[in-house]
Amino acid sequence: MNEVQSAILDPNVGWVILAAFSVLWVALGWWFGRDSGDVEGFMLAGRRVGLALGVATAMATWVTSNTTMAAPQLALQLGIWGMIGYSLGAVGLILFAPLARRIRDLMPGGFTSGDFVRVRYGTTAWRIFLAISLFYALGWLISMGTAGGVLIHALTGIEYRWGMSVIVGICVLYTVLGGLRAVIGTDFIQTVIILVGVVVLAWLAIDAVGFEKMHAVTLAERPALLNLLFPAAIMFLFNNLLFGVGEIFHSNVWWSRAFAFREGVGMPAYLIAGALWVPVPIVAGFVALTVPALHLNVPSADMVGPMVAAHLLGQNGAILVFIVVFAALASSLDSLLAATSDLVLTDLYKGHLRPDATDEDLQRMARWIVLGLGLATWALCLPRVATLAALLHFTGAFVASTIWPIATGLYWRRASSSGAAAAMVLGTLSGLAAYWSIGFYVAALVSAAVSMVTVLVMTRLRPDDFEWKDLETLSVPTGLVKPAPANVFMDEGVSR
Amino acid sequence: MTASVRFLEILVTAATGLATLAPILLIVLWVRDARGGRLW
Repeated sequence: MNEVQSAILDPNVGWVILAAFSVLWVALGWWFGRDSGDVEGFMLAGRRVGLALGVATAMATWVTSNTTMAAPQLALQLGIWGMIGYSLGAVGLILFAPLARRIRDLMPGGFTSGDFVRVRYGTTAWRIFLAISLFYALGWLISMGTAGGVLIHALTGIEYRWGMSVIVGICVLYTVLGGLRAVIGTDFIQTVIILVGVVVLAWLAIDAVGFEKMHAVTLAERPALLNLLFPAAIMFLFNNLLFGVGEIFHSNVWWSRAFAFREGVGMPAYLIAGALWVPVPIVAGFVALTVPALHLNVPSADMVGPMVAAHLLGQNGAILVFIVVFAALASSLDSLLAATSDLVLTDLYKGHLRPDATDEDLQRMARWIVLGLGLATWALCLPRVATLAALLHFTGAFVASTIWPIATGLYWRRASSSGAAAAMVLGTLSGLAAYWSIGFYVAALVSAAVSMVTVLVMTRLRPDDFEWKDLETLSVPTGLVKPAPANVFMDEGVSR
Repeated sequence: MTASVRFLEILVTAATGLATLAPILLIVLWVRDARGGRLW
């Protein structure tokens, strides 16, 4: 423990690194976003994002601070299946690949996932979906804001609220300046930094401890971590798979990218990003298995990663993890801020409050909404209320309920509107019941199962007869042509 | 059923190897897109 304490960065060094990278991200965000142009350019980067940036932004967004901090935490709690289970989060990206192509084909001028649910399933399902989606987005934002404060405090001693405030503030600033172009441009650089950082740490950990010693000490002191039949861990594996699928299928973070990628890019971008994401939680997580061998006393499970790095690499390890997690935080926080503000702008502001808002109104409001969302995140992060993994998995019950309504809605014209609404409500309630009565590792499983049965039964009883061309009403001119306001958000308002 | 040293070694080494290749692939894609004018 003493060695770890002595390796923690001096607060002044922490402030210097924080300041340097803050300036870098804001400057890059401004530079990438300087040609954003109209509201479509700000929200969807002009719908012309290529494959390299597409792969990088999907990877960077999905490699969150939770991947770099909660993966070691889960490996320490659930052992080998903890990190393998976490890596199955990539299945969501891979399964979303064909959906991204379908979304682009059906709605070449769409803006948000809410657009689809509103037109496909009607107002009731849309409002339920919005409640789930916004709750999840806030949970994810809080999770990352909290992670930022925790990391900075663990590594530098800078007070939690100051570190959290800086990270949230920086992401808000460059997202306001450059919109989705700023987000995607910085994502590329952040992805490279994250990957290089976790890989360097992993090779050094392997070299410092070695598999023989890691295995022997873990087997002697924490044998459950190596148990391949650890029941809770196996449940977690399947639960996490479904949780990841639910997160990606419903969230506007991924839909907005499907709209923003140039034609033909969505499917390969998500497939490649998924394949490259698979090893990341294992690489980031296995360092936790060195904890018994290193005789570390970890006071809080979500500090495992930074503490191991600091122990192994001293000041340089602390600096490395600091930079990696700062990049991971920023790459996800900015994406979520941008995508959630799109949802608030189109589905709440335009959809509910100001149906007659002009293009100029929306362009102005887009930036204010990012700012407001950032302030709300900051206020909710001030009290550190939960460990990262607990917060992350609480939302599993909610998002897993949307998997079947989204997937069937995109491919099955008879999928029932009332069934979609009921599936989201019943799935969420049953998932929450499982969360409280059994554990976090079954919430998404139960939610997805109940949602699937509800969709199938209701479609049998009350099938829709949906016309795919109805989704084309969302179309607007693509490219840099400024969209006609009457077409952007559908003239007919919020009802079908 | 306990994971063997070999299992742990293969799992972690394969994952770390693949993650090592990822940034290289991203940079190759960037260069390809930039040359073809397809970055944005």
